[in-house]
Amino acid sequence: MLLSPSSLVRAAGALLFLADILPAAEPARLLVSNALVLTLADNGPAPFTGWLLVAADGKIAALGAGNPPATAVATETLDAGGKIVLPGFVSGHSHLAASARRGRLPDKELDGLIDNPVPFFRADFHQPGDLHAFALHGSLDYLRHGITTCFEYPIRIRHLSEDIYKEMFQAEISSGIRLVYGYNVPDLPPAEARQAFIDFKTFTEKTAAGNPRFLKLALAKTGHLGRWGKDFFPTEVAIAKEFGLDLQLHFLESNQFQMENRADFKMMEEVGALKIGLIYGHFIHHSEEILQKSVAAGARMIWNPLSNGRLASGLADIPKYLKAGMSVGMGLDGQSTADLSDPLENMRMGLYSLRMKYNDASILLPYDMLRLHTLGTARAIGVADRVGSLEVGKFADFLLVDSTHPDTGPIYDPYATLVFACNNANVDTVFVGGEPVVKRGRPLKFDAVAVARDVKARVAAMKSRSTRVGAAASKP
Amino acid sequence: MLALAAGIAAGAATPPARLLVHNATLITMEPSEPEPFVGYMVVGADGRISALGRGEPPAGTAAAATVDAREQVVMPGFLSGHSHLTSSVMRGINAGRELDGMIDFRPTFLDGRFYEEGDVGTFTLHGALDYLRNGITTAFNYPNRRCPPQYYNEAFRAEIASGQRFVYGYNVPDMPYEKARTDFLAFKAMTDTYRDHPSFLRLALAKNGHLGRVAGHSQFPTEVRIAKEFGLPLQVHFLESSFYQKQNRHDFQYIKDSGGLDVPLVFAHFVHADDRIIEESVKAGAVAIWNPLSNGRLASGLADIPKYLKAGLTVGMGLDGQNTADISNPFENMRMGLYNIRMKYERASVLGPRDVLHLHTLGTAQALGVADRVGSLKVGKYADFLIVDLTEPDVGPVYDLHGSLVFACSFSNIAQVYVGGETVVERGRLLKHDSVALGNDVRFRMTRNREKTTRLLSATTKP
Repeated sequence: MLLSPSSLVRAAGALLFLADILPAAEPARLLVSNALVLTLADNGPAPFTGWLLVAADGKIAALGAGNPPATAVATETLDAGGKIVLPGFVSGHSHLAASARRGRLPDKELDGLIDNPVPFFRADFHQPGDLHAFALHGSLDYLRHGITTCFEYPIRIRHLSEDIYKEMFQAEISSGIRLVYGYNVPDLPPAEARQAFIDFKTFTEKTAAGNPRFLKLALAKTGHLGRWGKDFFPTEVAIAKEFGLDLQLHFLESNQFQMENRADFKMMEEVGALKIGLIYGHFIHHSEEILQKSVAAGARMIWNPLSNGRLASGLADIPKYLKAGMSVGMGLDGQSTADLSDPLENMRMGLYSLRMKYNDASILLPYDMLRLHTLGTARAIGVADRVGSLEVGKFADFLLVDSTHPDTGPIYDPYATLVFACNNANVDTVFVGGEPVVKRGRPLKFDAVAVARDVKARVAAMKSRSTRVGAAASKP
Repeated sequence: MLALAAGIAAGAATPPARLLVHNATLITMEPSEPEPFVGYMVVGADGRISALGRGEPPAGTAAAATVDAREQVVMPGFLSGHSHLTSSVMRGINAGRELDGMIDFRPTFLDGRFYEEGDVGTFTLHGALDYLRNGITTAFNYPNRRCPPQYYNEAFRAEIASGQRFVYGYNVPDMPYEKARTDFLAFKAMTDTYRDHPSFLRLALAKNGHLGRVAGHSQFPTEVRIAKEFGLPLQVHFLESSFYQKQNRHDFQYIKDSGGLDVPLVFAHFVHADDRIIEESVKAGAVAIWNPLSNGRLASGLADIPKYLKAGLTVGMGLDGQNTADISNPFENMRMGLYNIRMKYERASVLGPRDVLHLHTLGTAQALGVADRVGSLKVGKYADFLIVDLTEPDVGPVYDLHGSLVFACSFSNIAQVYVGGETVVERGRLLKHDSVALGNDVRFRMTRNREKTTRLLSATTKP
C-alpha cells in the first residue's frame, strides 16, 4: 500500500480524516467527492459529507469529511452531488444458477421444492454453456441490485460432469462480483472425494490466479442434512479440517424437517463439525442447546428473510441470537426461493417481521440492518478484512444511492431513508474495486438483454431435449 | 365469450377508441378468469374499457393509439385502501418508535399547524405522484385535519391535479354536531363541483383523530350521524397499535353503542381483532384494510388474514402514509404480507400469489365500494392498468406467471402506468408532472418550516 492515511483525527465532534497522500507508482483510480458517506465500519463515524479515494489496486486509499485535499488526485473524478455512498451489500448464502428458476411452485415449502425439481434440469439435459448462462444471469442480477460480494453455494446436480459443474465458477468469477466459493464435495468415497476437491482447488487457483474478485474457497455441503447427504458429511468435515476451510450447510431451515434437523446436531458434534468453521444457512428452528453450543464453537448463521417467507420456513429469532453472541449475516438465497434479489427489501422483510413478532420497534434499527447485510455478513463468511465497510485498505466496493430518484422526500435520518424508503430503483451506480459495473440498473460490462435471451433459449432447449427423451422412452 | 365488442362496431357517430393494446398477457383479476391469457383490450374515448378478449382483436378494430404488449403483462392498477398522502415528505422519521411514539414525538416542524399556503397541496401531490409511479392508480386518501383550516381543501385539489383516481375521506372537524354538519356541507358542495370528474370516485368520511387517542370518542357519534345521513362509508383506525389493543377492543362496544356498525365501516389495520369482533364486524358488513409494510415498520403486529377471510370479512390492502410505509411499492407490500402470513403458519399454501394480487386490486376496490369502476380489467370499468415487463430487470423464464409477478417483480418492472387509457408513468418517470421541480419545492418548504419552528421554539424558551 503506497497510499495510506497518516492520521485519523476527530475534533470538536466533527469528523476529519487527514490523509497524507504520498506520490504513488500508479495514479489513483477514482476520487468521489461531495458524497453522503456511510462507512458502516465498527465504531465508525456518523454519516458525513465527504470524499473517498480509490487506489489503482481497487482498494480504498483514503476517505474523509469535507472537500478532498489537493493531494487527492485520480484518473477519474466523480461529484456525487450529495448522493449516499455505502458499502456494497454482501449475501452470505446464494445459489446463483437458480436465477433461471423463479416463480416456480408458488404454494410449496422447501421440501416441496426439493421433491419437485424442474424435470428437465436433470444432468443429462444440460449441455455445455447452460450452467454458465444461468450462473452469469444470477451474478449480474445480484450486481444490478447492489450485491457486490456473495458466498456462492452452487448445487451439484447428481451425475453432472465435473467440466459442466465448473462452469458456474467460471461464469461467476467473470461476472465482476466478488466471490467466496463453496465447493460441493461429490458423493464419492473419501479418497476420491478428497482428490476431486484437490483438482477443483487447483482449477480455481489456475482460473483465478491473481484475480481480486476471488476472495476464498470454502465448502458447501452437498445435499441437505435430514434429506440426503448425511452419510458423506464426515468426508466434508475432514476435507474442511485438512485444508482449513469454512463449511456451509443448510441447517434448521424447513419447518417440516426441523425436529429431525435438531437430532442431526448430535451427529454433527460426533463427527467433529463444531471444531471447523461452520456456517449455517437459515438456522431458524433452533433449540437452546444448539444455540449455546454453536455460539461456543464459533459457528455463524446466515439469515435469509425473503426466502424464509416465500417458503414458509419461519422467522429466525435474530435479536436472541445476537444477544447470545452469535455472528449473524444475511443472504438472498437462490432466486428460486428469494425470487427478487433486492437487499434493501430483504432488510425490510427481516426487520419488519421481527418488529411484528416483538411488537417493539426498537428491537432492531435501520442501522443494525445495514450492518448485518454488509460488515456482519462479511464477518460471518470470513472476509471482513477485505469487504463489508468503507475503510482504508478494503476493496472499494460501494453503491451510489440517489434517494431523490425516485424521490423519497427530504432526508431526516439517512439510515432510515435507505432502509425504509429505498429499493433497487434508487441504486444509481454500483462500483466494484472502484470501477462502475452497473449504472441505473444496467450492467455496463455485459449485454443483459442478450444474457436473458440466452437463458430463455437454453431453458427451452433443455425442455425440448427432455420431451424428446420422454417421447422416446414412452414409445411402445 | 370474452370478446364483448361493445362500442367497436357502433358506427361513425361514436368517437374513436383511445387505445388498443394487443398481444398482451392479460391478468384481468376477474374471478371468472383465474388464468392469464394472451389477448387485447380496447379503451374508449371515455377512458373506459370498451372491449377485451382472447387472441387478436376483431377485424376493423381501430384506435387513436396502438400498443403492442408482446411478452408483457397487463394487469389492473393497484389500489391502496388506506393512505395519508401528505406523509410522503416525512419518511424515515422516528425510526425506532411504534405508532404511539410516532404520534407523540412528531418533530415540531412536521406539525401541520405550522404549515403555510401550498404546503398541504404540495405534500399531497408528492404523495399521490409517488403512488402513481409505483403503479397505484386508486387510493382512499385519509387526510389529516391538523393544519390551518383555510388550507384543508388543498389536499382535495392536489388529488384532482395528480391524475390519480381517489376516494376522499373527509375529516369531520372537532365541533358540535350542527357546526360540524354545516362544515361538512360546505366541503361536500365544493366536491360536488367535481362530481363528473373521472378522478373523483366518491366522498367518504375519515375519522378525525384515533379512537383511544386524540379527539377519539367525543367526535365519533357526530361522525356516525353524518355518515348515516349522507350514506357515506366511515374509515377508522382500529386495532392498530399493540400498545392500545386492549383499550381498542373495549372501544368496539363503544362503536356499537354509537351506532357505528349501522354505517359502512372501514377498519384500517384491524390487527388485534378477537373472535367476537371479527364475527360482529362481518355481520355488520364492516371491511378491513391490511397495511403490512406499515404494520411492520411500526411493530403493530400481523393481522391474521387467512382467519379473517375464512370468517367472511372483506379485506383490502393499503400502503398507509409514507412516514410509516416509507416505500409505496405494492409488490413489496404484497410480499411483506404474504411472507409474514406464511412464516406465521409455516405453511405456504395458506395464502398464494393470486390471493394477494386480488386483495391489492379487486379486493380493495370491493372494500372501498368502487369495484363497479376500478379493481379489475372488465368492459365498462376504467382502463387503469399497468404494463409489467418481466424482462427488465429480467426475472428469467416464466414457469408460473402469478409466482413470477408477485415473488420476483418490483417497481423497476413497471414499464408503464395507464389511468383511463392514458400513459401517466413511463419507466418510473412521470409524464404529466415535473417530479424534480416538485421534489425541490418540497425540500424548500420543509427547510422553511424547520427554520420557522426553530425560531418559534427558541423565542418561547427565552427567559
